[in-house]
Amino acid sequence: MKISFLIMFFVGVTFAQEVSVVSIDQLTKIEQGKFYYPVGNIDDSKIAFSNEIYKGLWLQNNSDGKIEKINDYYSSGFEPNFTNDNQIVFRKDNFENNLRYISIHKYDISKKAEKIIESGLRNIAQIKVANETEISFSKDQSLFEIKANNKLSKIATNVNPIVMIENSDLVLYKNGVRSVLNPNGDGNYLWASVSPDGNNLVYTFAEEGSFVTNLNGEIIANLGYAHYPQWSSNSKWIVFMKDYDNGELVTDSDLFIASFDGKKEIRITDTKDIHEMYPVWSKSKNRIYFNSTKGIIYKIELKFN
Amino acid sequence: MKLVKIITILLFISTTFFAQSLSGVKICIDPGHGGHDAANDRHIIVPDFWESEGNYSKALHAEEILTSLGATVIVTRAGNTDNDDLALSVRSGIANSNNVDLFHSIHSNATGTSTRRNSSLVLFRGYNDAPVFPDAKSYAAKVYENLEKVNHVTNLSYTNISGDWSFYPDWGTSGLGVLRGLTMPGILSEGSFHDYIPEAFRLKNSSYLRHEAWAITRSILEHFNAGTLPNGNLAGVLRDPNVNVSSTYQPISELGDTKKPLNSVKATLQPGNYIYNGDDQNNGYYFFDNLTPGEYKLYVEAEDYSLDSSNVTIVANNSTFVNKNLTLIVNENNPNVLESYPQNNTVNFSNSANIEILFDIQMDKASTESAFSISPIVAGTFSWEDNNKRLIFNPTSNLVAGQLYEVTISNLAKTIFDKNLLFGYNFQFTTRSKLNLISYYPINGSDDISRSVEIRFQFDQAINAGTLGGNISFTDSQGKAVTPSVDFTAYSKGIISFTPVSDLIAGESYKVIIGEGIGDIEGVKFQENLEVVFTVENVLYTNGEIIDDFETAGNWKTPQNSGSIGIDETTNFEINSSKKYNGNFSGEIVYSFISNDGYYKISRVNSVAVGSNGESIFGLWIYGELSGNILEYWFKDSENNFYSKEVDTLNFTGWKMKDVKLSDVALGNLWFEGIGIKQVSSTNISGKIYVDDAQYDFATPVENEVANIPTEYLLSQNYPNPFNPSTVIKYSIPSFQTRVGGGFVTLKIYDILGSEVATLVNQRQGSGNYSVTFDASNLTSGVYFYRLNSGSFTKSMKMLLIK
Repeated sequence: MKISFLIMFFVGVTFAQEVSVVSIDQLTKIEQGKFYYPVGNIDDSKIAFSNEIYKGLWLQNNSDGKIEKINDYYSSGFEPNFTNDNQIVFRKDNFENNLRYISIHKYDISKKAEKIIESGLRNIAQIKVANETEISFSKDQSLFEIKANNKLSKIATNVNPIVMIENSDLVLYKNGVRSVLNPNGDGNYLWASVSPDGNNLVYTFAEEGSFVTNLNGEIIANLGYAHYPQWSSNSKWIVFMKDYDNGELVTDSDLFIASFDGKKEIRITDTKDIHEMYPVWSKSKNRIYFNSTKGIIYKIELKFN
Repeated sequence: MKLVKIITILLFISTTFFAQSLSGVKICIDPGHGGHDAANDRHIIVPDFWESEGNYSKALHAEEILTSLGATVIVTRAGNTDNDDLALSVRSGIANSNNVDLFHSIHSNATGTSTRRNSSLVLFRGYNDAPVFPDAKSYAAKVYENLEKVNHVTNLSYTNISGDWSFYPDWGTSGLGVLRGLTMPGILSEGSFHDYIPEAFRLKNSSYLRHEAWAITRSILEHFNAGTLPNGNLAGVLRDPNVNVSSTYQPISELGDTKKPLNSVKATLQPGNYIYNGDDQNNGYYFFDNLTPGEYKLYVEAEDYSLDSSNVTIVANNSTFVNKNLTLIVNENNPNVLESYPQNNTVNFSNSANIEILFDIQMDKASTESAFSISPIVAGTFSWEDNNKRLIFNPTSNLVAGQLYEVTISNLAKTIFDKNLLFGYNFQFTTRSKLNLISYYPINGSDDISRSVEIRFQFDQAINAGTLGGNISFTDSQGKAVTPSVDFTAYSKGIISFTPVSDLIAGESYKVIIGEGIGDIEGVKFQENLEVVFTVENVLYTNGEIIDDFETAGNWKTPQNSGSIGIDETTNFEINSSKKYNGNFSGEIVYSFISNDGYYKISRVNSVAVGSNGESIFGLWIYGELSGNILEYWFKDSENNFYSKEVDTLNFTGWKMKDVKLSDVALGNLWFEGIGIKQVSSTNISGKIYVDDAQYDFATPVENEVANIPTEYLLSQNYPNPFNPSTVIKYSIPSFQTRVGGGFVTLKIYDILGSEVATLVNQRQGSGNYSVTFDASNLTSGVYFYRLNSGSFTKSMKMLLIK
């Protein structure tokens, strides 16, 4: 596939002898559609992505590049989660009387069978999947889990820490205790997630950038102007975008990775003709997916020395 | 001085909204990007309107009203600083993270051309006939309809509701970035055009912005089929029908904007005695909201205008408009001059200020300007304020320094009612003759100056940088020029400020000369030659146990969360690279007090142990300032008792070690807990310092007799020798032996039998050169030995006491 000359130019550059970009490959063509917000599955054999408003969900095989459309639901492409039983958990939003109602769906990739596991939910926070199996969400300051039998229950004690954005607050659920962390004071928190090892969390505070804290909400690192921060599978690195705009259009965006303690920051793209956005680490620590503003999905292969 | 008008806007805001069915509805209000970047934040010079401010004000009004109706409202930004200039991805990300039902981005518009118009525009995502979210298009139509009802806009033959892809055809399907990634229906509304000057004046009025928030509220209620508002609003504009506004405004006659709006209007509504006091922003606007439907009597008035009234009917869920042209009250009295600026016999008057004369009756501009004269003659232009009662003369160029001027208004000046001044009026003033030096640092003859000192001269007027060449020098004791780094931004504040590019030499003397030719922006000269000689502190420090190198964020709480008192929102602490003593970063403390006894404090997230050795010294490198406020350190003990310790007055610049002895704080184990700055008076309201390398257990600073750090141990022969009764012993401790905190050193005296008779040194010392005086008054004549021990080094030498 054709790859931007500027991206090619950047490939092979080594940073501080620690990380190098091995390759950047285009995974989708514009003729196939405009795709955004990629997410890799557990064994890194597939990628899910959506359209620009997160409406609809597509799956692409990494082996042959074939793309399969799963559905055309509103918000089904918003933070879908793969589980370790080869299924994908996503949501479907319906606007009834202009109010958003959320249902939670599970799609069996092998059987191509979809199941509604909860519906008619109002005012819930994100849907999170902990430990690749436990589907949960918060509502009215309580954490709910969908059990293996698809029964909904309020969780008394959650083993794996889960972070939620509840009315812009940064909220941690841990061992059944709900804690409003808000390490930077009151304001808008977003793009929060717990590291895969369960020790830290990363988030963006709208006015100040992205930060890493421990589970007590004590700031470990200030990543600065960094958006959409996402953990690597080994919890050592965070990938994010530095996107700029003129108030109407994105004028520039490039991708960076930083060590979780904030002591190292490495640029991994440096292009003017392609605006790289919404990066996400695959289950392999050496691979990152992202989309361009024009709706092309890309893959970056890294080498850690 | 100009009269400062205090505008009191009394809004009638009932705290009891009738609870509609917005309970459970979640809405994201986006006031666009924040800050005051002229390139992006749409600044209109007249009347100093920023779109970012107007949008934010509308958003806060909408948040208040919608929250009162039961909605949950997320506002994408929390202020209007440059930090609030959020990326498009963040603004849509906030809406998505909160799963809101509706997104509304609030703006005002500009043509970007010399053509003026005033209308509303609402954009949704997609093409006109193919919206990405169909419900966004229907909401956009509601918003437009309601905006047009409350804003002073026209419905010109112009697009009012559009999909962004249709509106910006050259952008393809990029459209408006803030609507791109939303998971819910969203729109962007442009309430009116802020580059239409009469509208910009209205947008300066908070009530006008609030009325737009009501329009948005009505639209949201309709969107969610949540009923209608039980109460109504009343608004209008009061004007003088006989005075036209400037044609350069391109006023729209359909909106009544050709006629001058009145300032400081007062509207009273009965029954209820609701009162609205207007502003002085040339909009004539008054406003009452949340009124119970029914019949009212409205009374409107303005200074010099006759009271007028109307019967009005307030309708639920609607806005009623009553615009009025008020009649000027004829005043047959002769005018008087109430005051002048400057006052008669003023001395040291600014050479660049305007001259103002305030009358008690509106004046006829032409006759009054003709009646004005100034001697010696000065060219200038006239303008008027305060309803044509204040004449302002703006000299074309600076007045002559040290000149006596006389201003006269002859009795040919007359009012708009054709009544002349009975007598001419005149006053005198003398302009500034000299650029005055208010303060400077370092003080001449001072000998404790930092190696990185910021040299600073504060004058009473902004400096003309073009006058500095040949009028300022900075040299060392050999007359060799020292290269400075100059803060060019300080000239406008009347400050000449510079630091040496390379650190100065400890113990060395330097000289700064500023010459008589230094001038200000008014062309006034300093007319003196000032010589300042100072000496750099001759002290050598060796690092102790560093407990915070200020290289990493996250170790400190914010001043707002650390117990600060009387600080404003600009007060801050952050790790940055603006200055550093060591490494790449330091801690920047920025504070601004809003009271007379403010206290800035930052606390560590986790306190750090500094031991229990009372003899230990604890300190930080401080990059100082000249505020005169007090620097304090905070400690706590094992029982969580907290201790503040006054360290020094902030009356220095450059990096200096500021330390305290732990035994002066408290006994026992101590932990370093924080840093404080105590306000000393109402005038010391703000400042900025930097902190770096907090440490303890470092050696007592010593005189840096030799600039070079010793590379080997040395124990010198005492001098004099023989001696009676005292002598000096010199020794050196090399750097390689000094562990962090210094090596332990003993220097003892023994008699001929080997018995110890005195201990001169018994402490940890850093590398350096030392001298100790031995007083043998109590000893008998004879041979004595002195022995130096440090690490593996031991050396003894003999001396002779002869009495």
